[in-house]
Amino acid sequence: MDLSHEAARRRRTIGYLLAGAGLLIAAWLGLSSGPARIPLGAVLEELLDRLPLLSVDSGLTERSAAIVWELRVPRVILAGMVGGLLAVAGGAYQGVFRNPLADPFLLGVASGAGLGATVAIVFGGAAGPGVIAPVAFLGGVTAVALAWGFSRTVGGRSGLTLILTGIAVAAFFTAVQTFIQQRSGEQAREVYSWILGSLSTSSWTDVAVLSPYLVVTAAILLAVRRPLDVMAVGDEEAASLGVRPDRIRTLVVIAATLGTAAAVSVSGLIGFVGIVVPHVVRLLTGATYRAILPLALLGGAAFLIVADLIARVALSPGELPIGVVTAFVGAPFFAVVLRSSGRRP
Amino acid sequence: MSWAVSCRDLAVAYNGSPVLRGIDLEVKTGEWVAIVGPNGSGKSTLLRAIAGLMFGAGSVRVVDRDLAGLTRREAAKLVALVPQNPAIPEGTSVLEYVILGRSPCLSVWAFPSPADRAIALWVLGELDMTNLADRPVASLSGGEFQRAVLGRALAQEAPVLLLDEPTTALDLGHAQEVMELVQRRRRLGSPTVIAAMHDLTLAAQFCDRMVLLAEGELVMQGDARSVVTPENLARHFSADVVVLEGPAGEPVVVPRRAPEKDPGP
Repeated sequence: MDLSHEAARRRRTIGYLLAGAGLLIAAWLGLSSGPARIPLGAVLEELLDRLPLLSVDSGLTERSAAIVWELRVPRVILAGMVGGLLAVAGGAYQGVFRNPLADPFLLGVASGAGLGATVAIVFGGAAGPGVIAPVAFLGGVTAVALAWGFSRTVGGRSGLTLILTGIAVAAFFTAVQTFIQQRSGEQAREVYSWILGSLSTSSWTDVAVLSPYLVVTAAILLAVRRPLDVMAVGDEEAASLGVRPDRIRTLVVIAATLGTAAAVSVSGLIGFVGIVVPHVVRLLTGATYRAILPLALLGGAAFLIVADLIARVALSPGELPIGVVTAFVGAPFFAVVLRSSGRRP
Repeated sequence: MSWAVSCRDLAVAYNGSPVLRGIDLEVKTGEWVAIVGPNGSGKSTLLRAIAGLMFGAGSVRVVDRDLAGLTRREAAKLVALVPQNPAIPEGTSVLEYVILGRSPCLSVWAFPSPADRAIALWVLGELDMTNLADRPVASLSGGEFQRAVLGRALAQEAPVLLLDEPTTALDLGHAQEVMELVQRRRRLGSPTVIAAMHDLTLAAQFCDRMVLLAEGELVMQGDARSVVTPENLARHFSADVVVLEGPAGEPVVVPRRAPEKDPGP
């Protein structure tokens, strides 16, 4: 059986290598593709040129180089950060709530952010588009905080109460959001396109804003991987094994909420990544969160970079909403993995 | 005298209604105590209180330490619990499952070391399960899974082992086997065993002392022969039984059918 232990370790190593390579290739393709096609080789040379001590002439015009550096690099990085955050948060939620249907929007962060963005778009006209992200972030955090506070007054420390209060808060926020959107007239379309998600306005500023959230959220979630494995046997048994399930759950909810709310506020509501990427990883490498969470981080990043690439080129020069692409491409992919793995997630 | 477990005036309530009242129980190091009593008498609650998973009035001391003053991890190093209906985690192998028992010895941030793996493998060998190490626990039979749960508890290497109805889901042979495994392991590492049991005959064969709970109170305790009597079983279990004597003088409970009132056609 030491052989199988080695086999499991080898499978994890292969998983890390594949996910890492996939991420690099996805990023490379993402930098090259778009309305203005830039040759893959030139992209590579342009990147190498920026490394210290290296001087490579990529042969790109100043305009093409600007497209790479000012539009595509931040966009690809942002797609990777958002995808990684959503996938790692979804994976952690599936563990901490012992619920395979959990995604990072489980506790209402999406409805809250949606309401925040809608309010900012409809009523914040004078303040400009710059206020959408902070207000969406606030809305997302507020929704989860309400669900959390409400679940405490109901009592019951199991995650189920929290899921139910999350559903209630999400439904309420969505109702208010729909109402405002319906009454808003010409801004309804803008609200709608925000909700479907897009990375078309990505900038280095967004990258800078999201970075600390990515670092903190990923660090916390990756740190509690072993307790998540213990919690697979339920709260009471986990407690008898020395874990404090309520504490771990609190930590995960705080970290995932901050990260998800930040991701959503710059990208809109991108579904499917947070629920399916962790499952694909689980099906391919086994059930331990030790591997699931880091691989979900890498896999989610690669997946969203590819989805964004497709969103850009499929109807070029127009763009598809990225939320449409994630499900349209992701669902068949998931079906194939599910079938070939021959077991339930 | 230092006790492995000592409950003083323990009272536990669940959602406002009392489940245990005034329990005084002392268990010596190395002793095997069977807790018996009808459904709802508080057996599981008593085990949970001794494991530090439920708190109430009064005190519970384990190996001379007050449970109320211990962290979850410290308590889990002293007491291992085999629950009544353990969850079956999807996709976890038997070895991984047994390694979960090492959790109390690891900090939140740490992963199991080769030493933890070695302990888990040794436990699997003790339970004659080495060949099942790589099987998913979800694919085990009821008896195999019960042994895996026992393995997880033994891997905790806690001085006190609590068993909540360890044989209820098992057939006769597997029930006997699990009890023998506990007995054998007890001789090796001499942990104190407290087991809530429904099968009075089996309990009587293995325990040093029997404790009878009824309606949340400790009604009587003593050697199995003094507790397992037709009078006690009639009063507390509403059971009509004959108690015979087994080969080693232990009580054997035989239920008696009510006489048929209407013989029918």
